[in-house]
Amino acid sequence: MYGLEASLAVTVYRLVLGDAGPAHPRGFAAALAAVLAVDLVTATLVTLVLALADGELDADVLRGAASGAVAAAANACLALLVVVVLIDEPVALPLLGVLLVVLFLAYRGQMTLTRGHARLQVLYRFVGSAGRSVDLDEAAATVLAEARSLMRSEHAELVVFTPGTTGGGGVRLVLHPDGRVEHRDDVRPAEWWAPAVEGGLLLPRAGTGEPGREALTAAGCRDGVVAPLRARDQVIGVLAVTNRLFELETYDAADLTLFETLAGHAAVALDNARLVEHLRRLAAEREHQALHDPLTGLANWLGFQEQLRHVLTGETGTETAPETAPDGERGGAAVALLDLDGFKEVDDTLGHPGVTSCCA
Amino acid sequence: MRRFAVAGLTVAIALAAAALFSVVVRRAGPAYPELVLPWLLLAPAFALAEVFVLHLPNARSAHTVGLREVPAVVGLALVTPAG
Repeated sequence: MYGLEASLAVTVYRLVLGDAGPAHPRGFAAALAAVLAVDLVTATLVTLVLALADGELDADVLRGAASGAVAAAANACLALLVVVVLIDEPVALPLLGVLLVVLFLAYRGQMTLTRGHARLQVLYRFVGSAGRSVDLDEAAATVLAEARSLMRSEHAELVVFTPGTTGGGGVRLVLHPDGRVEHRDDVRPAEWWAPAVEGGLLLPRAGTGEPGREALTAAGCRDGVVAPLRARDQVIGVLAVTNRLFELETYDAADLTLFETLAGHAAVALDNARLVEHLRRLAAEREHQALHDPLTGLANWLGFQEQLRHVLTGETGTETAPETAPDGERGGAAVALLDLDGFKEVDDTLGHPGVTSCCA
Repeated sequence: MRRFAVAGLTVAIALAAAALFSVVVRRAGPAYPELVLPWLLLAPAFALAEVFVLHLPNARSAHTVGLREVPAVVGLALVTPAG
């Protein structure tokens, strides 16, 4: 490929240049044409190789080449300045060298700013989507999906500890690369993320000897970052992502800071969802208590009335709703009043426990 | 089948490079005979341009931004193609 690039560049350059010199406007056009031709041909061939290897066309490479062509053209202009200076005034070359270094530093600075801005956008998006759901499962799935996508990782894992413990039990939700969320209850204190209970943990690819490194490698992961989920002054779990998708890159300190912030918001979202679920359960319990006898567990007078109303009016949403026939006709209902002869003797002889089991 | 296709494309690229080299590059003299730089001078410049690059990551890959074109254009203008 490099051989073709070099040969193609020379061919295009010489074709456009003709008899003119490199410092002539035609020489400028020749250099720009050569650079752009090489860019285009390289992107096309890379796209072709990927399409042949994967069996599908990835147009992203071509789109990337289009945006890269602008930078390549700018670099070519800079290079032409170097050529002109070399031909006309070589002693001025160090000045251009300084300009080149400054340009590179400016590129890097702009890149850092762009990344910082992107991280902020990531945070906004995460806060917006994570706080939207009050259903615990849905909130957990959203947190996992967003964390994985925003940290550009292969796996995301959410561990919610059993209340009162920090790692010895709980629920573990693993988001796999295919989007499947797996619920597991094998939460052990010796997992790679365990040290993160004390604070965020960063395990970049090149690192060695950090707490959790051995367990991470044993789990088949290259790199990872994990942050504790804190709610109401307690660690309620941890959020972790592993295997950075772009293999030339790994997690760094800025990623950990961002991830800890994400985990803070995730903890609030999950805690809210847990609270809502707790309130729902509490409300259901209260309703059950209001409609049932605490001793026998049978419906009390109010519950009986309620069930009777449901049966007679045909309202759904109750366990005693009348059966519906296959043709859509509702079945009938009947109320039987029983007067049990001699039940008082049962009560007197066996007491409340006997009556309860008898009624139940 | 895919492996053969990729191998075929690789061979085609090598043949195209060889053809361009023998027809154009090998016969080309210096573009500016008054000033011809030794190609060895460009080697460290290329090395620096490849080392000091910036990655703009997206999902699974990254766009690499560098100054690779600078030594390339200087080479096109001031180095004799076949050495």
